Amino acid sequence: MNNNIGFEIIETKIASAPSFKINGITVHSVYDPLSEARKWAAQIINRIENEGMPDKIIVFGLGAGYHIKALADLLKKQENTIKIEAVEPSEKSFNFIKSNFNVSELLKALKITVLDSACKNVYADASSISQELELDKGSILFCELPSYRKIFPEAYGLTYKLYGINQFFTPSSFKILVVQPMYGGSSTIGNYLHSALLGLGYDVKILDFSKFYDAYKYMGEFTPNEDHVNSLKQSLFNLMSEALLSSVFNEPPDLVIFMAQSPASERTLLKLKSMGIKTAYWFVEDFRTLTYWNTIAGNVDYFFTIQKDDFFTELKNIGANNFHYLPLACLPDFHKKITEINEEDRIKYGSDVSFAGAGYYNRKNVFAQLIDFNFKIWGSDWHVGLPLSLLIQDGGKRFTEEEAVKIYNYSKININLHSSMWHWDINPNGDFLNPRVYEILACGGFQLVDRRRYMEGLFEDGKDLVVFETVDDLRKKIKYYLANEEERSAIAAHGRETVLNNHTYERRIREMMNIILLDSYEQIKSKIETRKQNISELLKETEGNKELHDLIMQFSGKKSISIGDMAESIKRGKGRLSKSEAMILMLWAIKSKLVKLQGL
Amino acid sequence: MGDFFQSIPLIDASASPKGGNGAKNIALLIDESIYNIKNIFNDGINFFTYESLLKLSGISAESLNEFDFFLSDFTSKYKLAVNLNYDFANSLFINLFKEQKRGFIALCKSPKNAESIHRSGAANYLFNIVKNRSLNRINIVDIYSLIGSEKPAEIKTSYNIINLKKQAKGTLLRICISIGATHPKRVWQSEKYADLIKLLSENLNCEIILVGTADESSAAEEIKKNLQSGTDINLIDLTGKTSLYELIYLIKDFDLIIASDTGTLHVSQIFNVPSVSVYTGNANFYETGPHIENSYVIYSKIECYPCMQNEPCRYNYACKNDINPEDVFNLALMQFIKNKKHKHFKKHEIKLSDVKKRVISNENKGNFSVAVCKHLDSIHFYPLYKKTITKNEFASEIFKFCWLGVLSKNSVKIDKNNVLRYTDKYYTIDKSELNSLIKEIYFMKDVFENARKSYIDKKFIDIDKDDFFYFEKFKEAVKSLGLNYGYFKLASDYFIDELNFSGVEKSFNDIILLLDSATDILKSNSSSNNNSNNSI
Repeated sequence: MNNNIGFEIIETKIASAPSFKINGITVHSVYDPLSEARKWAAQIINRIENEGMPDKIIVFGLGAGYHIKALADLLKKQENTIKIEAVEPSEKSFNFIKSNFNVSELLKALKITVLDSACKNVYADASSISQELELDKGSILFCELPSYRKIFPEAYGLTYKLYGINQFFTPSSFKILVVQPMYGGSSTIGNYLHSALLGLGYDVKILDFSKFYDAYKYMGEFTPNEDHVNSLKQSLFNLMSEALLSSVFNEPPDLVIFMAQSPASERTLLKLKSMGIKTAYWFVEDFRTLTYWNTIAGNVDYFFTIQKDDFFTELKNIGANNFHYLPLACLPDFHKKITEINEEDRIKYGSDVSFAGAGYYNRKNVFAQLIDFNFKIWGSDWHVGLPLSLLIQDGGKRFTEEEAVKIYNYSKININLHSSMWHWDINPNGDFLNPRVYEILACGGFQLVDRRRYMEGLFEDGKDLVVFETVDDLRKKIKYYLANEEERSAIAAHGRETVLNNHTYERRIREMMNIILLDSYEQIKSKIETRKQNISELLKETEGNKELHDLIMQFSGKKSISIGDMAESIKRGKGRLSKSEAMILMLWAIKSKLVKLQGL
Repeated sequence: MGDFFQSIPLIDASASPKGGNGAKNIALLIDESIYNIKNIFNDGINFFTYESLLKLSGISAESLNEFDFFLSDFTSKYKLAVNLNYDFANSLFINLFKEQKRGFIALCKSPKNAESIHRSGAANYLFNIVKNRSLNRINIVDIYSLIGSEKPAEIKTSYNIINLKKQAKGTLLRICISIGATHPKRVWQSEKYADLIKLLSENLNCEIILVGTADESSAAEEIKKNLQSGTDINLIDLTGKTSLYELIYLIKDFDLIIASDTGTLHVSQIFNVPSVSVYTGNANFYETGPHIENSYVIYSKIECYPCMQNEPCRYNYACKNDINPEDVFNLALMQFIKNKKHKHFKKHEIKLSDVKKRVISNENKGNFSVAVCKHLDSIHFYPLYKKTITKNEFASEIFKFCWLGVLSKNSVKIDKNNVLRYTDKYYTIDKSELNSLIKEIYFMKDVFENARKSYIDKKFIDIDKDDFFYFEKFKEAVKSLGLNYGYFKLASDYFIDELNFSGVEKSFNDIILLLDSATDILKSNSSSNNNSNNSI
């Protein structure tokens, strides 16, 4: 929000009803603000009569309150008890109004939401604005003080779109495809994303390319020539891209989310675009280590990153302007505190100190200095001799995510040292937080982690987790927290609360979807509105057509239905098509064809 | 567009009182992009598009009820509905018609369109030639007619349903060159077109008109750049400058069209315009070749021709390089001579036989072939001179006639003598290969006749577990017959699919009729061979 706001009181013809200006724009009529307010209120009553009785009215713009008072009076006359709420975009303007106008009665009667009190990141706060205004509850009539549209155009646009989204958008009406890579850590995150999307009610499918991994590894068997091997691998990558296009062809999703290293070739992305499908890419890698982002970022609609600052500069340099910071998270249904201790697991996975992860260069150097602790190291690629090999568990085998949860739960101290291929111990310039930060906390584990730039504002050192600066510092803190169980447990509990409140995949999805929905508002609205219809209304209106009515009755358990839903259900059936079924399928097939052609 | 014009003989026959349905009211559901061609048709032919049928305001009770009402009214008006297109929406639409339905019809519920869309007979044949292209020798014009009317197309020089008629010509020969196609594989090189234009202009008093869409304007510019200045060439570039209607209006009066497998070529056939067509890439002339008698097709002998549309070309479009402008020019000359256009020749002493000899000589030296369209109650392509063919090619040639019998439900009777006359005139096959083919077909006929005894004569309706198990085994055996005897693969695929759509009895009857007809022809062929002591 723009914090440079200027105010000016203006005398009007009605002495008791002054107006004012914000940034030179008059808020209420300089002639008769009360009459203007009455006219405005009458228009709102008219809308209510035409559109039906809402559960509440949200008014964007408190102003001096004349319009809201006029509306409340009219509603009272009609013995109407519809709730009214107000949205004031700026704290400064709110304070100005409170100081200069008689709004105390209004402030007692109304719920007023001040938008910019937490508006550093409009998309992150879009979720909280939606929640604050309870935009998804009941039917809402949204209106505004006309002058506020000019004074606060961005805030108005955001609030209006959020209101609109909640009117037309339900997760179940939105189809998402998550595309996984063949292998790698981002496929785990892809699985979490998929689970969280399902949990939020999205119509989501996942495309798993892990079966291609063996073929990918095998390419090297055909020739020692590296160029040839790369060419073969590229062909395999192209094949996966074609497989992806085949999978979306018959049932196009609304959004495809690519995880890092998934087959997102330029041709694929352009083809999806031509089909009217939105694309998002979540680049959960270090942009300095893996540089393929520069071939992708410009071709997707939304490019999400776990780094900003330098990465954003690089992205701007290649002409991209579609990037958004979206850190990793935890999946509470999976990363949870174990309440019933399994003794066998505790013995196997428990220790004073643990680390679960791959054997990167810096980790080997640091952990070699911790061998005097009861320290268990889990994971692969730990090609070392003594003495570190004594600490490696399960013969250096990869652990499953389920095992990770046990490790985090049963270890007294979880070390989380961010990897580096070229720093001796700790990367002093490390920025992003790895998934382990969130996962350990969600499991209720106590975490000792190296300092990272983006920790600021997300987690508090000493309250949610504990940061170490050097290996010596790490050693001291291990000893300290092993000896201070209560403090250790309190930090773990607080860290868990923080991460569950603020850093779940559900929350990330809301943020991602806010970005996408706000940015592509008109397009997605147009697409979805043509799909959905309220079931009960449909049932009522098709009473005269038994066959159609019976067909729609099958969906009476749902709130609303799209033609695609009906088509899917029909296709899953068996036997001959009835006339109504053929008609619905035909409508769906034609609409799909025409929507594709029109690029909707 | 090409597909639409290739279905004109069927539409015309449907409207014809003689031998057709005499339908007074014909509705055609077509793509929006070609809607404007409706102006070339008579009243009584009504055009619809999906856009005109539907309001896209979303699913509402009002729109559903409205659509339901519209469908009830619309579908009850027509005695016959035909869908020539393997498209899900079209197939569903056809389902809703109350009277007779033919072609691709969506009847069942299934997540897979292939299981939902019913196709039997000629529609099933059409579906299966997509993966067995080299085995098909029936032209799509005939296939569409077989789907819609259960008989091959009646090719006319002028169609009653079209109100555009040819007009008197000017003093120059008007040669149309359609330079584009929907797929790059079918587009001949610009420099070759330029060389061809030079040859035409040097030898004929003609005007050459380039046609195509706006996308082809750049190719037209390339061609013009390749034509040296100073040469007296009467060239008009109409690429991107005509509407579809205007293009059709012009095409009907051309003296010759030179094109690849593109919509313009097929439009020209409806107006009986002589043609020379260049078939490259995925364009299979047997399937989509120009259907006017004596149309010439020139194509590469390269092994990979014809290829699949979506298959990337690994040979740098070598099939295009095998076709030379000189040979296309010679074929154009042959057309003009046959159609008595001598007065337009700059050098009057050109004989057909000389030109033909040149073409044949070049064919022998080069890597291309020429096929010419002939009508024997259906559309066929034959070489310019007698050629030795392989067993598989010969089998496909014989099966072509047999399929016509099967797909017309035996209403088209094979004139064995005619078949033999043409195969004898144009093809030579090694005697041992012929004998081997005869034995194989007899063997397959035995297989199916015996199987029919087991599965039909035994009233294979109440399937018990054993019967089902063995029938599934039999189906696997049929598939492997197709794999082992390559020329039979189309038939085996047809049979397996036909079982699902038409049942056991019809499927067996179709294949046995096919094989029976083939053995009948081959038997006659063999005995006439023995009598004449010549190899065919």
